[in-house]
Amino acid sequence: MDTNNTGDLIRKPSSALAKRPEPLERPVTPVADIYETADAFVIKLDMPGAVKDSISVLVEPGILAVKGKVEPPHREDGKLVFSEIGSRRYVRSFNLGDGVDGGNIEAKFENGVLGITVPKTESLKAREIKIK
Amino acid sequence: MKGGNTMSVFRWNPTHEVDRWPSDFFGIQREINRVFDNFFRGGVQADESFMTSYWAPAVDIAEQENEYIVKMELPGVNKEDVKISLESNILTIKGEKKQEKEEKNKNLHRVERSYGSFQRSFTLPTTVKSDKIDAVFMDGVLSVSLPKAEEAKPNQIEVKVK
Repeated sequence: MDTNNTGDLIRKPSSALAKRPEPLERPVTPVADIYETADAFVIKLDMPGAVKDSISVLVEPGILAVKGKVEPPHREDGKLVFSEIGSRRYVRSFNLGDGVDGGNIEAKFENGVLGITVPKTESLKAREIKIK
Repeated sequence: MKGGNTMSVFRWNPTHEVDRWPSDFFGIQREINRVFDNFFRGGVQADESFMTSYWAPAVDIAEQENEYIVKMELPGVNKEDVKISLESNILTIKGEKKQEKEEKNKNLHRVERSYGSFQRSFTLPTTVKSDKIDAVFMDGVLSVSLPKAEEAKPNQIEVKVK
């Protein structure tokens, strides 16, 4: 098929790509935003297509690790004519510093985004010191 | 993070910047982000050009006997903010990913996710039934099915020779 301009056209993958055997599940680092509120650190990870039940958030001293599986794409959807997504699983981990409450971490998966709230311990929270 | 306020508008590949060292935690090499132990240095402020940048979500297109299936990764995008249109065999998916209010004006430590407008167009090789296009949005993945029009399916025509 002809590709007649520079837009996104349905086209066959280049022969070089087609010959390379694709690993079944490519580990992918999900992109993340991290921000801080008064009480907690919040991590938002883009994990589109992840199967909720396969997502795990593991906490061990100093480390928070996330992994998740994705349904294999297009298993019965016919042949892929254009592919940028492919088969993959998500893996990423973060260092946890002192002052976070590892026992009360909460996670929620919504609309392809994993949100993790890591509460601060009292010692990290901003507080006002009274002048005597 | 590199660059301070001159953050680039390109999709950032975080694997270029994070530290790596091996671990048996997953049995594979692991990526560690030194984030929480550096928070006293102050967060990274994403500038306006990054927030309003233009991004191209990843797409898979599969062809079946009777239809095309277009899958687009749109994590965190609201269903209402996506528009799908078809004009003379060109499928266009566009929309906007809005940043949640709670994320704005917070102390940002790391911004890797894309925000702003996106648009992608695809030329379909055959005509499709434009009134039968269907779309499902689940777990941040948009799936559009486009049934092929009858004339696009291979059929045999008998020609009588006189």
